[in-house]
Amino acid sequence: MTLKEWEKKLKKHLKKLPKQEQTEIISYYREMYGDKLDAGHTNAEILHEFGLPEDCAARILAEEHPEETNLHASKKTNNGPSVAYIVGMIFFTLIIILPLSIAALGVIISFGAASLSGCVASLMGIVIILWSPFQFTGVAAIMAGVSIGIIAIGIGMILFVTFWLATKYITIGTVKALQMIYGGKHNHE
Amino acid sequence: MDAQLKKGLLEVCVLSAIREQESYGYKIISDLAPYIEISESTLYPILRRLEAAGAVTTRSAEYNGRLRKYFKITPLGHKKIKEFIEAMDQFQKISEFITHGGKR
Repeated sequence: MTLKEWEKKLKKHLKKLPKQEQTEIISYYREMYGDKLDAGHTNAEILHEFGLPEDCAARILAEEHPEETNLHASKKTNNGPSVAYIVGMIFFTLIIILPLSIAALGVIISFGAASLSGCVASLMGIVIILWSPFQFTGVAAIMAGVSIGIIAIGIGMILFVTFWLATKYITIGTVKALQMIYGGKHNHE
Repeated sequence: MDAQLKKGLLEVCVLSAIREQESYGYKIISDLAPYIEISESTLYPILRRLEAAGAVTTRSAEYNGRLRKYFKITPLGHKKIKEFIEAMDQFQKISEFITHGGKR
């Protein structure tokens, strides 16, 4: 490649810049070429040291006009989500996620409350049986009553813990879903 | 070396290369070569920035039948060097702090 060819390619990649600036850059490399030639370097060595014209242009543009080189990237990354995206997400959240989560939480909390009340009722039943043994016909009836009560308490506790955990994880899940939808905007800032 | 740090450092290096007498592109690169790596396409924007900031002035003169651009330091350029040297004292203290892992 000759200097003329190298310059032609460089100029092609500097088209974004004003004509005067392009001329100045070409003059700069021409002067540098002449001085290197005087210092004993060959044409091939000099052009190799300069590097590819497109790389030189990119480096100069990046240094002198960073807004030009980052223009396309910034359009893609810095403008944030579009209006349609935000409206869609609000609609999705209000119409689907929130009502579903509230309904699920309502059902689960009511099951939890029912389980808890079952435990309390069974406990109260045992207390009543133990405090009034003479109203029943025999020890077998008392034992049967106490056993049923204990089983009911056990089932109630298991159900209560299960629904309590389900409530917890559904709440966490809903919060995370909302964070994912609305939190994404802040990553761009 | 960190790109931003090198950028600031190179500006002062270029100013120092023309502190005693005016110079031109190829000579500036040659004078800096033993101390810091700088390519032609790195030097060009630095010279442009320094000229725009008023830290250097330029003149074109004919040499061997072709034009050569000479760069001369201005009082503002000298001030920038002085400021850098002053800042180096602070860098030195920070460097010692970092080297010793935050302990004296």
